[in-house]
Amino acid sequence: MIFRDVEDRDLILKARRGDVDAFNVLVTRWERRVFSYIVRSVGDREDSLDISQDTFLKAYRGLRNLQNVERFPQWLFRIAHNETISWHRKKRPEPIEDSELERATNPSTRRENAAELTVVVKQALKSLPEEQCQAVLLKVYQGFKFHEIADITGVPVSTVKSRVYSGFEALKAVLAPARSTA
Amino acid sequence: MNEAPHDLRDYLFDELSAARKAEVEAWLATSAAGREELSRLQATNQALLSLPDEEIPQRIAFVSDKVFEPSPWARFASWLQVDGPRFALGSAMAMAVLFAGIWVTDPSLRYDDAGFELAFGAEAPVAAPAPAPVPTLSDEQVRAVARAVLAETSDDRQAQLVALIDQRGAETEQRLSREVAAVSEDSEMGYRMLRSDIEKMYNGMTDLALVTR
Repeated sequence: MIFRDVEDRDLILKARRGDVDAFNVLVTRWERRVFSYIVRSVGDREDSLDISQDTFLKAYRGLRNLQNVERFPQWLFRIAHNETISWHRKKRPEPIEDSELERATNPSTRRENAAELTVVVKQALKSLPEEQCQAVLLKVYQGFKFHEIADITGVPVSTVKSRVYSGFEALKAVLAPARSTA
Repeated sequence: MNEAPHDLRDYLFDELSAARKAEVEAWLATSAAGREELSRLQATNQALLSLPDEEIPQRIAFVSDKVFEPSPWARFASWLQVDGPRFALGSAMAMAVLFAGIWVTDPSLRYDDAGFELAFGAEAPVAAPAPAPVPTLSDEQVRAVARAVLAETSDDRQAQLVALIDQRGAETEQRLSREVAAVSEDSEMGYRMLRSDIEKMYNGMTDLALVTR
């Protein structure tokens, strides 16, 4: 991991000097994580691809503004986060069907296979407020620390913790409901 | 149920220091409700992580692709920023271009009451002199000045005219005298020639008469 970090820094420095191939390697390394984050927030794969493309284009153009190359992941995800927020503002998310939401939140729903669990998890994530969903995605799927998420989203650490906790509690109610004592 | 010493979600997300983590684990050993709550948190996390990674429908376009190709100016700016000598060379080139532009366009900068005006080449407008301020006079003052000017002008003109007439008169008299003298001289010479011719003719006729006699 340390070796990989050093390599990323070297690639960033080369890319800053106009080495396009170095940046291409960075794209190859990070495109899957960035796309995964975006598509789980946005839902639409085609739109997510466009947003990912814009994210890397902005990253390339703004690479000289990156003060600390060690914080490249947070910096890259901040761009992706902002692009995602812009997408959400332009395109209001489709309302969740009541039947789907009920199914997702119904503790008695049987999850017979992984495909069904996937649907339930996606619906549960989709039911969260946008800010909570973003915070959970960055925490659970991308493994960022609270202070790193604060850096990415531009809000205080306390706000990040509140969003993650609230979102996670809502998800817990759907995905791991308390056992009935009755 | 005893309260957890620290938030179990922080414990789950590995946000606690080693010491605090140990405190939570010691508490969990004594709390069945705590273990149940932690179990639900872990189940939620595992359910979330069960989502398969989304495959990218197509690769992200590389910056070497046409769509990412930087503009010539961007490439030039990037080239300049590599090291000092290149920057110095770039600065020199920029100065050369600047001076060449000045030489070619021949700019001129003019300032008057209307402000600054920048012009290029031979078409540059020549600055017009500012009009002199006109004093304000009454009608009576204007008439008095006009009369004085006319009187002064009249006296001067008369004196000049008399002097001119005197001068031209003397010149004309001299010229006429010279012409009369010339004519007289010419007339006398013509008379002498005519007389000579008549005498020759008379002498010839006399000789002829003698011969015929």
